[in-house]
Amino acid sequence: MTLITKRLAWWLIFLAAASPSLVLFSLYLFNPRSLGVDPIEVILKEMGEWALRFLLLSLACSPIRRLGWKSIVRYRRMLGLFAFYYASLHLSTYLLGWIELDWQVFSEDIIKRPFIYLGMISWSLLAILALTSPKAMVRLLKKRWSIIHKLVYLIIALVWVHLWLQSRASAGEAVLYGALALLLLGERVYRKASVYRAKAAR
Amino acid sequence: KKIASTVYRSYNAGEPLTDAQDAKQYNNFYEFGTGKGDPAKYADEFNPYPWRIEVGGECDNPGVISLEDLISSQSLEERIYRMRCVEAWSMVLPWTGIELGKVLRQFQPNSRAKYVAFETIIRKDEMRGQKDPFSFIDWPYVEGLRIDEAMHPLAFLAVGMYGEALPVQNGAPIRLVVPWKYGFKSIKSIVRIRFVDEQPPTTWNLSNAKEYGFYSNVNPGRSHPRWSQATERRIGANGKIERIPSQLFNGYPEVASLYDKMDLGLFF
Repeated sequence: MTLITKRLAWWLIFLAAASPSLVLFSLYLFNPRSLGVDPIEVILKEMGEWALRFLLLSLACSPIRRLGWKSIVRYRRMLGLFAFYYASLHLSTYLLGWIELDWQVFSEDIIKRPFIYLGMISWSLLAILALTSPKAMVRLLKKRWSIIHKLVYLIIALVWVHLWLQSRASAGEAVLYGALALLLLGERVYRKASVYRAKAAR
Repeated sequence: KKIASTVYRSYNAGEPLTDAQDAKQYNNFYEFGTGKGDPAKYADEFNPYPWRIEVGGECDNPGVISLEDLISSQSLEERIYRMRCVEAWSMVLPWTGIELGKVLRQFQPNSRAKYVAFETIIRKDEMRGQKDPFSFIDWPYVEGLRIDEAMHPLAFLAVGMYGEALPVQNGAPIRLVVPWKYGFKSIKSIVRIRFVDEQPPTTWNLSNAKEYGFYSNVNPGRSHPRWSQATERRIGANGKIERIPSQLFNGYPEVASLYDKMDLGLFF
């Protein structure tokens, strides 16, 4: 690929990844009615769901590479950072729009309610991954970097429980995302196991 | 369909009404799907006419309630009630209907009638939510009240909203409205009412007994295990949403005597 097509691809992926938030916020500013009766609730839910989708996308990069699209891995860091971006928007919507910065509600929520503190822990871990994502940090942390970034598996698990805990009448959504996560994680386990078997056979 | 003009107003909540279009587009009616917009979206798949409710159990005069009889009743009235959902949002809604006790007394409940059990229709072909394989709810949706709760003058059987026939998404054609309890107690599209001598099973209690009790009175002092009930998001006039403090019994202190000797933390 030439430099120009590389740049173009980067920008296209960047814009596509940013567009859900841009669309939602412009609708909220200019036509909140189009988001339904309770726009804040819709934004809260959408932002959280996009954070999870980007987490899964970043996990999907290495299997996709093995399927043949090699250059996808180049965008993995960007996808991971978008997961953090949407998780941060999700958290801000909760703080500003949902509980309206009522610190009494917040302190009660964060102590007593598993789905709130699991969400907060997930966001904090994502923040660590985001802070250690620049290339300089990769060089600085060397081996420790890849250990730290294994946290993504823990984050996926926490985020899934966070989603599961708010299903009320139907588990459909949680089951769907859980199945996708298991597929991506299972592929890794399967691959590790076959590498191990190949070594043992030798 | 307009509702007959014999309606007179009572029980004014004294707060601005929620916009009719909001009340018709923001619904929990899982028979049509779990999204707030699903009931309005799939409402036209359901035909609520004609309709009758079978009434039986511990009573001397079992029979049916037909929709036509209810609508032509001279005692139809309009009541403006606060509606507080267990999810911590609320609305102020004008219902048209008849006092529940007035209807129930016609069937002459006997001395063994300690509770009243209600049941929603099952129509898998018209209510797509009833086909959701991952649903935590067993259909039909069932609810219940203690007989003295059911006979309380605030308990209401609604056939209309905003002066019109009840929209499908709001529980057409006949639903319960129990304004001092969380919204899920106000069962929709009722097809069966039974007087019983034991506390009847209720859908959300069956689905998660730790979170949803039989009584489910609005109580800001007792938080739901997953969220606080101290405040609510009021969906008010012009679509304005505000977080306001919640009130015990949803601000209807006249029902407090029903629970005089009860520990509301235990019987939630």
